[in-house]
Amino acid sequence: MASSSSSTPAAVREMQRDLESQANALSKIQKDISKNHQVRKQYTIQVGENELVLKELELVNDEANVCKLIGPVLVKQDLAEAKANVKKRIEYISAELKRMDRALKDLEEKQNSKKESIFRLQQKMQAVQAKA
Amino acid sequence: MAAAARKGTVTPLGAVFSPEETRRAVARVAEAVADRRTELGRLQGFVADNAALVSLVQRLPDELSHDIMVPFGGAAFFPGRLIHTNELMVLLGEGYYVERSAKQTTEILHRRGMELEAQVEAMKATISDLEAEAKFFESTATEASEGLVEIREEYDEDTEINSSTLEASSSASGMSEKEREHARIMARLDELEMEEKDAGSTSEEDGEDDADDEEDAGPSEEDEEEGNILGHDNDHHNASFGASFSESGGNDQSHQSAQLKSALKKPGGREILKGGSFAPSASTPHLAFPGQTSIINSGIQLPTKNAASFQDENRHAVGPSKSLPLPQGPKHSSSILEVSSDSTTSHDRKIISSGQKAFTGSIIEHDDNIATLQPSKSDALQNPVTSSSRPVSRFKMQKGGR
Repeated sequence: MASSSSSTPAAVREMQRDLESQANALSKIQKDISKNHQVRKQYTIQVGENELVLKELELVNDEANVCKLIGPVLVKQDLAEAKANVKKRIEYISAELKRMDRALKDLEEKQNSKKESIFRLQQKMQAVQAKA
Repeated sequence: MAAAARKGTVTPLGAVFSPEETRRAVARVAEAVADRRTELGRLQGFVADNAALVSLVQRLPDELSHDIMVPFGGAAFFPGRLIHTNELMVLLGEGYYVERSAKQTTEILHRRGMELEAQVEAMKATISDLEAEAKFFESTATEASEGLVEIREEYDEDTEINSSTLEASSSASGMSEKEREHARIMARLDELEMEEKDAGSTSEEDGEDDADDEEDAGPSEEDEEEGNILGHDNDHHNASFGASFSESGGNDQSHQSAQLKSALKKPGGREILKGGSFAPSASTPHLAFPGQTSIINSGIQLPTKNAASFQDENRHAVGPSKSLPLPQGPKHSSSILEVSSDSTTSHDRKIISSGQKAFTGSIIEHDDNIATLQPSKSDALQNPVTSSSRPVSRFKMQKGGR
């Protein structure tokens, strides 16, 4: 009995430290997830905009002047070139969105496992404290 | 009593949804709705801007040149002339510009406007969804705090008929002559008051009054005679208020509860639950304009009335000696509305009483009319609500009895 009572405070302290680090990790993951959500929202908007641009460019006839605003100046661009650029941009953003989806799933899995481990740790702590 | 115990299960809503949690949910949904509303306002601003731009672009090429004030820096303007009024550089997005004529520009702008309208519509749909959710949460919260209970029971035609027959025989001598007389007078008074309010009363209302008279006289007469009267009654006034509730009471009750149960299982059940809290006010139109709204409302009314009955029953279980509470009392301002809510409640009481055998009197009609009305049961189910003015007398009777 004496040995167990002397070892419990140390064990509890150890567990508390563990729990704290786990909780920190969890909050970091949650922050990542929310960041992911934000960036994804932005990308989704950009895809929508690019698709609108592409639709309009498809409707423009060939001899129209197309310009791109680069910094402070409007640079004249070929229509075909502009279309190709917009398409490429859409592709890029779509790929990026897919990548972020995967990352998000990963993060959520990590979050769940972290939550579970924290829960288990808490239970263990309670058990130890109840015994002590 | 054994029959009542076996019929189904009773769960207080408060046990399923805790009031604090529902309140929190309401707050959360309300916040989401507010967010969406600001977003919707932003979108509508875009739509307005776009419309203004379209009209400007359409007017620009009307003249060869426009005299304008050119903004110079943030604070100054100088007079200038706008020329080349039919050549526009249109920003398509993502830094791409294209040279377009005014006409082509308006086409682009119209396409954009369409896109915006679609977004606005989507936003509105989202908001209405959220609002429905909020209303559901709210009504659940109030119902839970009011002590509403959910009753589920299976429908079994044989047992229903048996039980109502039993009740009929056991309750034939349930009420004294004096009580009946009192109830009859009260009911008549209510009807007269109603007639006064509805100056332009229709023939259907008259029909209802007649029906009430006959029915009120009913319990003091012999069973056979009453059955005849009611049968006759039913033929005449089926159009105005369908078969009355009492005539097919036992069956209706079980049908309704079955319906409620299925409704509760369905996701759409929340709409019905939501309706539950507005039961008395929803039934007012029936009294004011009988026959007009009955078909539209009857579908919703079925479960609604059940919900009201649960509430009622619960309260009586707590304090059986108490007079009938009016759960939605504050909502009714005029005396007519009071009457209507009374009648709704008394109606519901009748359902309960047939289930518990706690209350007598109304059930005399049951088996007679169940026999006569079996063929037109579907009719009775379609609009049992329209008879809501009739049970006034029952309510009063019961009040006197307790």
